[in-house]
Amino acid sequence: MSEPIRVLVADDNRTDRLLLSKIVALEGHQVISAVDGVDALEKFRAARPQIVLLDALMPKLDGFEVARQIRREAGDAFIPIIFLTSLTEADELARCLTAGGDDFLSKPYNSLILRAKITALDRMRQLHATMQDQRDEIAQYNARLLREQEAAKDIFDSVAHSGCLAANNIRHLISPLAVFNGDVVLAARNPAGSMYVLLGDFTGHGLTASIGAMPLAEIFYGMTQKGFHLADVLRECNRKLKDILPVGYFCCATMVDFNFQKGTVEVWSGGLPDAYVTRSGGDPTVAVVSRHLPLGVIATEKFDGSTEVYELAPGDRLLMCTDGLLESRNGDGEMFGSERLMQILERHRGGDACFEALRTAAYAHMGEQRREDDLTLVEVTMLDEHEIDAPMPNYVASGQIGPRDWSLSFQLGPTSLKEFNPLPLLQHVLMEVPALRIRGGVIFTVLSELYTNALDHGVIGLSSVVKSTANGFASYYQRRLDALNALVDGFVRFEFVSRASDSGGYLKIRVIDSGRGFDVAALHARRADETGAYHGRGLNLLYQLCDSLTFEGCGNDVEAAFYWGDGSDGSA
Amino acid sequence: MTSKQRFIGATAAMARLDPTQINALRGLMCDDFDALIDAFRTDSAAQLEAIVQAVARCDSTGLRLQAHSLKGACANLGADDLAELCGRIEHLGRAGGCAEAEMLLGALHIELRAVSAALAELMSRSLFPPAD
Repeated sequence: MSEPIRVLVADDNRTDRLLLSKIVALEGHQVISAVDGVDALEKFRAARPQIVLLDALMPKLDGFEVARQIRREAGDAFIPIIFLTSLTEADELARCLTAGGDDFLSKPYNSLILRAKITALDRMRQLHATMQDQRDEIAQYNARLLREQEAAKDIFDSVAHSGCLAANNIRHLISPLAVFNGDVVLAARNPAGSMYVLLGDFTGHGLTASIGAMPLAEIFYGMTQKGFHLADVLRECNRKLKDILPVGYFCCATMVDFNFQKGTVEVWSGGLPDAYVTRSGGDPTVAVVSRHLPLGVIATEKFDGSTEVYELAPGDRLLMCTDGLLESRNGDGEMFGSERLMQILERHRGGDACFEALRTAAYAHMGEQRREDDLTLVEVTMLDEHEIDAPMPNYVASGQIGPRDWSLSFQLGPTSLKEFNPLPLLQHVLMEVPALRIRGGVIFTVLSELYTNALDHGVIGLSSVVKSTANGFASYYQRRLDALNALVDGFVRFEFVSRASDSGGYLKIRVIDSGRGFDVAALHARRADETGAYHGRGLNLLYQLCDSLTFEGCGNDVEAAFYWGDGSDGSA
Repeated sequence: MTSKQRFIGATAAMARLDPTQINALRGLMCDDFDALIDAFRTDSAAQLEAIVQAVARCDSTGLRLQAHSLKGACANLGADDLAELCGRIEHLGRAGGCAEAEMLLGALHIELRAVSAALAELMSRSLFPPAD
């Protein structure tokens, strides 16, 4: 026997009603009797029966109308209705069902059949109720999921897109739903004013993809603003992703360092489609091929952070894209492909309209089945440094009161020179001095120029003249790499002295290297002719940025000084 | 009432009631069987009166509904001949044939009385003597 339920029996004839009530009651169900249509509706509203037995023809309100009303009032709930009828014609019986009945029972009543019908319809009712519960559950679950995704997207956006993507030399196209397609674009300036841009494409979609983007963005922004090299940032990103991502998940990425002072772009690419250097001067477009595995695939010891450097004139551009563009298909299933991309790039040759033309072509190609979700494009343009409109990093130090009288000597031997970049560490120490924070970018630039000079021209002994020849950059960097690998002795030593009082203070940075030095007088003489060209030990820049710059001995001992306030150390 | 009359009445009644249906009803209703018969006898008399009045007023809707309702009850009690007669009157009501219906009222009267009497015979405790 099934679970007891409430059954409404509506029949104007008492004999029939008694009979029905008996049959239903014998099944253990609770009977609610109604004597006509109006009574039936009232009893329905009051008692909320689970099954309704309705005489088709009744005074006041016939069964068909009662059925319609019950259906309306029951809403989503399924209340099985069995019509009771001595009607015999097929169209009358059909009418019982079209009016909203689920079954009918002809007179004379057969108790066996009625019992079977009640059982069957009650089973359907329970099934329906279960489905309804599950539907509600799914709807609630879905609503919660959407809320969570909204929140995840907010967090993702504030972490991943917090850098200088809005800079005037960056154009990008990224879906507002990027959190779900695993594409990420990061951009920030380092303390020396260079701009790092990273385009990443995580395997998979949805939360897995966006979760990986969080540490990637944190590392990118944190290390960039501390002045780490491209390779160091990438190595750390690779380590972190390797640690946290499940096997088979990784991040294809291209990362670039736009150095506006030098007019160069340094590129590392792992797993993304070719990037392109387009020349405004009319030189052919150059494809920058991925030479590495994606981030998060190989162990830290095997990670290869080697980069390629391209010289860019103002107006030259670098274009990066994920495979979403190249693999987008038109109506015939044909992919956009790199040939189409190259044609457009060549047609525009680094012109300003190129990015827009590319976007238009991509949309035209996709036509109706346009899926902007997967389309991520980034174009970065080389400009003169003073034209760049993008914020420099803010230094946040532990307190307003820093060290006032201190000195530090820090010397790197050959192994450290090969493997370690001391600049972020030293910058971190210097930024503890409150008065130096507002000049953080300048100090970092000076620090890195002094270190580069000491290492490249001092310890290794490379000539900067190499860089001015055709293909100079490539061969310069190759020679530098070879020389570093072969290094067995030598050192670079930093000596810092800083004093501060309430009214002012100073910082002196002395950098001494083990190199042979150079003819300081000759360089100074040449400096007079130069018009801001990069090579020549960046001396123009250093003279501009420091409050004083002095060379000692044979040129391998240089001191840069910064003063603030009255420059006093409080001892006078 | 003689025993012979009783016997004839019972025979006539059984002829008008489907014995299979009656047995099924007894089994189903048990102690409430008498109450069921009683309800039918009382209500059918009232319905007959309503049918007569509907014919007199030529109220075809009322005629149809009353005849239909009585037909259902008769069918449930195994009074198949009476149910069929009600069905014919219901049909006439539907077609607006009050005059033709009137001609069936006499037969309806007689048949209902016979069925009512036969049913009373079946009750375990006879409340009313069967009609002659």
